Amino acid sequence: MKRKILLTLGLSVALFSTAVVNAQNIVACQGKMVCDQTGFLSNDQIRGLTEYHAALLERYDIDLKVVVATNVGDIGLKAAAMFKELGVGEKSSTRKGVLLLIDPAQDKVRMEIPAGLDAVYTDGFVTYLQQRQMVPFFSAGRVADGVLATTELIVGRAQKAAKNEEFIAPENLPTILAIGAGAQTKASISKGYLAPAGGPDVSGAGMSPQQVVDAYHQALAQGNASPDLSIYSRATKDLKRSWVVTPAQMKMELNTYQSCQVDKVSTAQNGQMAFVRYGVRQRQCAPYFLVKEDGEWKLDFSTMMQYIRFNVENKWHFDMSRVSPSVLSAFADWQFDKNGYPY
Amino acid sequence: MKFENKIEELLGTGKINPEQAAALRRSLQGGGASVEMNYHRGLSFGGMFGIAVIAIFAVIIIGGAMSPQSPQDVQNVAQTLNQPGGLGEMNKSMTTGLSILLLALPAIIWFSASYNGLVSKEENVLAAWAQVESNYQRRLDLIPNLVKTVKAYAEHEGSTFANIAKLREQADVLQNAGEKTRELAQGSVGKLEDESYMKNLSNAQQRVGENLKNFMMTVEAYPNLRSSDQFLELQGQIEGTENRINVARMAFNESVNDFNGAIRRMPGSLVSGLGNFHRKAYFKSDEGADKAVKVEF
Repeated sequence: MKRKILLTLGLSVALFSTAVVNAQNIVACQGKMVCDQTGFLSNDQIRGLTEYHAALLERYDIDLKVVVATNVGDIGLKAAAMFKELGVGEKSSTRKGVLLLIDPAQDKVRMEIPAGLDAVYTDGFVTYLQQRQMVPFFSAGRVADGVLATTELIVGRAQKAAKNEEFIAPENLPTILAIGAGAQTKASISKGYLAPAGGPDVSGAGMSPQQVVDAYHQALAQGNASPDLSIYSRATKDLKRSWVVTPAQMKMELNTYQSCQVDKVSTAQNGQMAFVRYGVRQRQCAPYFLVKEDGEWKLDFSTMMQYIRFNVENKWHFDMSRVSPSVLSAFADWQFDKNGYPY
Repeated sequence: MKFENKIEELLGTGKINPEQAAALRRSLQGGGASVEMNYHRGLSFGGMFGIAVIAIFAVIIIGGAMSPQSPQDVQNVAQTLNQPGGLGEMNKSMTTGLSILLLALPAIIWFSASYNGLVSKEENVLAAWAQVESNYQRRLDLIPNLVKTVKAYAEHEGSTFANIAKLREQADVLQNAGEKTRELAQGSVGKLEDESYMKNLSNAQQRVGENLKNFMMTVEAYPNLRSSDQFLELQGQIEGTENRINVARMAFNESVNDFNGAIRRMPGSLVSGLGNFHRKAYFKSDEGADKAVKVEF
């Protein structure tokens, strides 16, 4: 009898403590766009994600909250409960909220999508996002980058949905938004990055800069993620070997460029560099840089990485503090504003 | 009340969406009569006014009955009118009537508010059930696609499939279980008070979930199929639907708990007795009642 009473008391205390800890966790996360209860993300990463998500909220009215918590139990039920408790979507005037819950202890991640948005971000699409974009980064131990890379695809989908008027008007949304939509997956955090399959070599011998870019797009279409293709410059090969390449990124890049037309191919540095650029209004298609090595045109992602930046809308611009005058000279017929956006 | 009106009301208040309304309508085929009998509508202002008018008449009649004189008697004006230092009979009966009215009015207001509170809790149960139904419907709608995709792949890769017969067999079992459950679920919204029906339905749904889980486990043996984007999409939808079902089941059981508690507790039990509110059944299965099937790949 005494044992039973002690057991009941012990259980009650444990349940009460869990409830108190949960309540404290919820309070600690209130109002934050990125809430890490585990110290899993660095302060810089939290700051970077928060800034990006603030821009996402301002531009697309999507309130994307990231919570890192350990041992949350059933991550599906927890995410739905947390969505409600944290008031995800309240910062959005159209009640668009997304919750990303990462549990490193259980090695699980769940993206909770509310009613209304589930027609745009279907469960199947979210599964694709997680498995084909997020998890490869997580496997490489780059959780914050994985979240950012996933957000890029969320933005891409939001842009299409806005164009096709797929979003449901807030007055037509149900009272309870957390309906358990979205997807969860094994996060595979730091389990070792497995690069997508490579493929046969692609040579650019005798090709023009534009033909090299076309050959690169064909490699993307074939899912050829090899970092050692002959169409890459030496610096690009080195860089690509350290990159996390995901099938979703490759698909997205290809889809983006398929909707853009080449505007001009120009050269600089005495014909040693070439630039395949797209219409000035096609802001999502950044120019490709090519460099001549061993008498062949090779894609130079290394220099592109130094000079080109993308904003939250996936629009490219030059980093004016870095871009060299010789590169700018190849774009002399365009103007650039102080932030490096062409017009 | 007509169930269509109820659905329109739920739609209008944003408690359900058009998809769920359609699921409710489907579910009501064959179960409409009992719905009209079992579920209530909130008292409108007019309703409350009606009750108040009836109460006032009742007070007047009671007041009249309390008068010591028969209507045929010749009225003694001296007795009826107020006298110095005292009240006449007319004012005595008026005062008694007004006192009863003053006592009855708060009771009427309290009754109406409690009744409306129970109606709104019952509506929450219905809305939560609509959510459960639409998610089960969603799962049943996905099964034919899943079976089709896997069968098409099995035919394409026939020569390399060692276990193709088992896969086909499981696909058929899954589809049959789905169809049977669809039939069982017809008219379910009218049977929310029938504990054994709800348990049977929950068991049937759980069996579909288990069949689905077994089917997916067999599919796991074929990495080419698993890694295709089309299959990934289906897998995501099925797993997502299972999670939606878990969330919706939990919300339904919470709303039932809230409603059942309200009709059993005092003073709500008084109103529920007068208003003919009945306990709703929880949506739980026989085994592992609190544990829904987890489909994880």
